[in-house]
Amino acid sequence: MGYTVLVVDDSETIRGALLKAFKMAKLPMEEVVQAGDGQEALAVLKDKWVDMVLTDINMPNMGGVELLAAMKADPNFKDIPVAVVSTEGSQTRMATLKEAGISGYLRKPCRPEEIRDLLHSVLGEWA
Amino acid sequence: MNEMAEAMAIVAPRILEESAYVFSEPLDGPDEPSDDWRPVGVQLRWEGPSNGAMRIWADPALLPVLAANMLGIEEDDPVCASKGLDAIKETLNMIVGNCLTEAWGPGPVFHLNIPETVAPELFGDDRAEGIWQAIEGRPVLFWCGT
Repeated sequence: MGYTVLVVDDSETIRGALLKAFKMAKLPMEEVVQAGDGQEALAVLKDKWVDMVLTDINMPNMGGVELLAAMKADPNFKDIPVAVVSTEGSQTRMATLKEAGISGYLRKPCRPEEIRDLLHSVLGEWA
Repeated sequence: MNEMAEAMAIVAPRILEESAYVFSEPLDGPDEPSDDWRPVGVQLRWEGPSNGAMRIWADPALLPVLAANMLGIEEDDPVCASKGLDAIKETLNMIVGNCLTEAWGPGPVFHLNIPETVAPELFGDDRAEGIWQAIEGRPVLFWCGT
């Protein structure tokens, strides 16, 4: 048993790097589900319950901001925590995302311990 | 744009070290590759208070090294060959995002486009203006402009 997390990023390398970071941080992962953009993420969420979504911002088809808005507008998904993992460092953008309901933010490149701390702060430590 | 070029010189080595565990050092003129060098070029454009683009021209042999280090697998794993281009595109994405904050501070909002490969013909002009680095002993050119 452990966390089930949906990782949304158009870069397969970044998704793989996050998988590596989960292992390096010794996080108890039940399953890591992947999607290449917001549209794929919404399709995944219709079929699978996840504890949390980690999403990039800039992606083709549907970006992270649009994904967040779509999830918050859907009663089935609105309570799933969403954290942004992005290269962007604008505090103005982050303030907007916080108002829109993100649960956390990490800037790429991020270290395994930062990812561990984010998951612990949002989901709690796995007993 | 000078601010971005200055930021690029500071930020690019840090991002490469933190994301792909590779170290870069300035490449002196005599060690720059000859005219028959055939690099891979990737570009990322942004819009906001300042519009511009950054390009990385890298030796093709460096790409699987980046992928291997970012993914935590061996360089001879076939996955590295297929993920190399994606790895350098995402490296560029991280460099640009961090450079924009370094150059303009944390206030302004920029829109970053999706990284893309660029035509080899652009390399000729870029090599005169870019910054040469050696990464894992392989030449890389960083270019920033409009």
